[in-house]
Amino acid sequence: MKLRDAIKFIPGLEAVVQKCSTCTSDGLRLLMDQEFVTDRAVIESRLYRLDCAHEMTVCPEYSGALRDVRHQLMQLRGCRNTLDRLDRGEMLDEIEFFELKNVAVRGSNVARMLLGTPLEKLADIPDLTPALEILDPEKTLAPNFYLYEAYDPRLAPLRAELNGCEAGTDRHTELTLRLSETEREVCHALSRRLHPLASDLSKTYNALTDADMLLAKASAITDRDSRAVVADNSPGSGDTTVYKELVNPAMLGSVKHFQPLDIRLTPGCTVITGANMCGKTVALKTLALAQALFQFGFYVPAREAIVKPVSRIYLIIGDEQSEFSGLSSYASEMLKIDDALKGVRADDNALVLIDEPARTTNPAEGAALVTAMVRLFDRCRSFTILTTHYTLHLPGIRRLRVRGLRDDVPDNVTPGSLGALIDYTLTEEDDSRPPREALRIARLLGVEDELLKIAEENIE
Amino acid sequence: MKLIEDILQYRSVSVAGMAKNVGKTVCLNFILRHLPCDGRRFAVTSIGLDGESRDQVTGTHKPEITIRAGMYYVTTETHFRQCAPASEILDISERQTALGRLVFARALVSGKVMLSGPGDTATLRRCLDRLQQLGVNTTLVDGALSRKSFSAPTVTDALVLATGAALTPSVPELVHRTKFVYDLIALPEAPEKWRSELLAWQGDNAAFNDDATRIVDLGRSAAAVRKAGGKGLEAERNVFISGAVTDSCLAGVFGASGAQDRALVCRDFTKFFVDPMRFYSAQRAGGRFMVLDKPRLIAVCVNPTSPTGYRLHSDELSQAISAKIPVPVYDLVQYEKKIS
Repeated sequence: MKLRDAIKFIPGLEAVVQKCSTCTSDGLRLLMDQEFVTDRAVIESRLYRLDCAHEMTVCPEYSGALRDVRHQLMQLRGCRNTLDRLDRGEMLDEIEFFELKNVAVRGSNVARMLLGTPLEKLADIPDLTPALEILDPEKTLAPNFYLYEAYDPRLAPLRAELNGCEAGTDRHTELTLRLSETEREVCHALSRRLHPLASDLSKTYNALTDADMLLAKASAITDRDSRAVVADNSPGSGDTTVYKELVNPAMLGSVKHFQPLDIRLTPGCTVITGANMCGKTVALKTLALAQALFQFGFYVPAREAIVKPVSRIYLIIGDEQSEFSGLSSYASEMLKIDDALKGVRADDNALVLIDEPARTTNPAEGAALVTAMVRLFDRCRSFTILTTHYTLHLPGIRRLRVRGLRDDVPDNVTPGSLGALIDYTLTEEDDSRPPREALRIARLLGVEDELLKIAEENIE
Repeated sequence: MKLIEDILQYRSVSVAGMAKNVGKTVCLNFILRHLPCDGRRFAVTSIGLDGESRDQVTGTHKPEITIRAGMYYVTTETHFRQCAPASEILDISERQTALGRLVFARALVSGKVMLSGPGDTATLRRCLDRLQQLGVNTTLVDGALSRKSFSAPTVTDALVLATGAALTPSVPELVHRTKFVYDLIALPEAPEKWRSELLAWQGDNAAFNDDATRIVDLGRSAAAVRKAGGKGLEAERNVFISGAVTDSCLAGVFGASGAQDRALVCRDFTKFFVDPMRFYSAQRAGGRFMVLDKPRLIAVCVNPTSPTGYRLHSDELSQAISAKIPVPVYDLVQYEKKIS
């Protein structure tokens, strides 16, 4: 799975990607084409590269080099097609030679600017002297290009004669044609000379766009992010994923009081209970986001993190109704859960996040279905987190509970301030009964008293 | 020549034709030929497509843009490859136009170019800035008023208007139509307070009070303007039209009783698509028209010959236009014949 596909179903991922401002369009393309990596060593390698880029962006001693490198990258022009054509030995024209010289000049400048910086060894830029000798015969290192007189002795006299000739005359036309033919021969010869250097120029272009992508990723790192430790994901290792002070970047911007989350994921199924408005859904979305960021080679939005790579993320959340396929929200949700179950049976190393399953069907069958799901997912080694309001008898299943409303809540709260009065801490719990705070919250929200009284009588 | 001296005062000048075949390309080529060779750098580009060897509408022969060695030009990749003199490529834009990226080049020899520049005013603005970075003193922009959605004349610092017999074989009618465009060009800029508020306005058409402290969104359509105008627009009596000003807009804004002294503000003169009679009628009744960006018109160039072969008397035409429009009027073909 590529990052461009993942942003469609991992909430908040697109916002993080949008903060990565690349200087080149191919840098952005490279970023969006990043694969969801499951191999521990590859993730380590990606994070090491990001560490280097991050060091470059935060250490004042590299600020000058960083500014210069970015300036060079901003001048880099997309030339993937030209590099392919050069590699195939096709004849190039002046625009394409301009692009190649641009790559060679920018590559040579960036290689020089990165000397002594953390990115020096990562930006694998080959020796560009042979390419520059051809593309920059005047040795100016200026990024402009024309068919230099040095390429062919016929060019200078033809151009001089043409400039002394009146436009529109037969002589002018004849000279123009002769010059055009000569230039075509020069282009042909230049293309042949540059063909053996196609690999070096391609490597340089890739190194530059890669550096662009890395620096863009690094520039999106905030003070709240950290570099996760990569946990062992070998079969039977039994390692867990642990986040300390995990936050959801989207919530930070929109909610006044967002309480960071401490959570440990263990193999099998964990059931999270908690009153409404206590952040269970946000917790699942945040876990999916952090896992995706980690495996796409980003830092995670937590103070500390040890993350086990998973083979896939299943996020089954919200209204799954698909009107176009004719499925109700219940049917759509059940099919997705079925897909996840089959998936973890085939490759038991996934992160499965299910938010209040079967809540749209009748409570008796709903509770039975959720019990069955918990049992089946708990037999697997994948991390499954399931939230529910149902009262379930599940001995041996790990339970977490959102603490919920604080004890000292005043009576005169407004709906907008209620969030600040909730303790979002997750605590391990043995009690199988979910917390009963729905009526209390409704009362604080100002819901009509008579309705709540009748509800209370019914409970009794 | 005063026309050239005037052009040299500006960073960018657009040459806009009132219609096809009114001599805009002749005018541009004249300017390019007569620019001084004193070390100053000149560039030429176009908004949209120009420099075709044949007019796409009438099929008549059309002069191409000819540049001298050392001149800068901006065209698209497609047309650079089709027709350009030996050139030094200085830059290529990152963004694409419909005809590929923009190529910033300097001619090594004199020759013909096929110009097709930025497709929108924002890109044109960036293009002019880039040319300035490259050390260009003055950029000429080939732009036409007939390309409805483009506002090259308001992006550039000054404007040369080309008009001619291709518009109509009747001198009074030609003068009348040219004068109407001049009157639009000469519309005053809105007061600074209005200007700052309306430039920052993100909505559609709007009604606003005399202090521009209250701005009410009227929606996008002319029908919405008409409906709001009919209700009186009471305190928010002035109207800002964010897009094209049409006859329907005029009727909406000035049609209601007691609404004749309102102000109608639009972005610039190229946004007017109104019948001259309706425009003048609203103006005579007290209606005030203003723009957010007013171009500086430095000259009107006339072409007395129509592509169908009809020829008006050059001096008569120039004098008739001069009598109505207080800027220099030139027949450049006639001028060149006289000096040669």
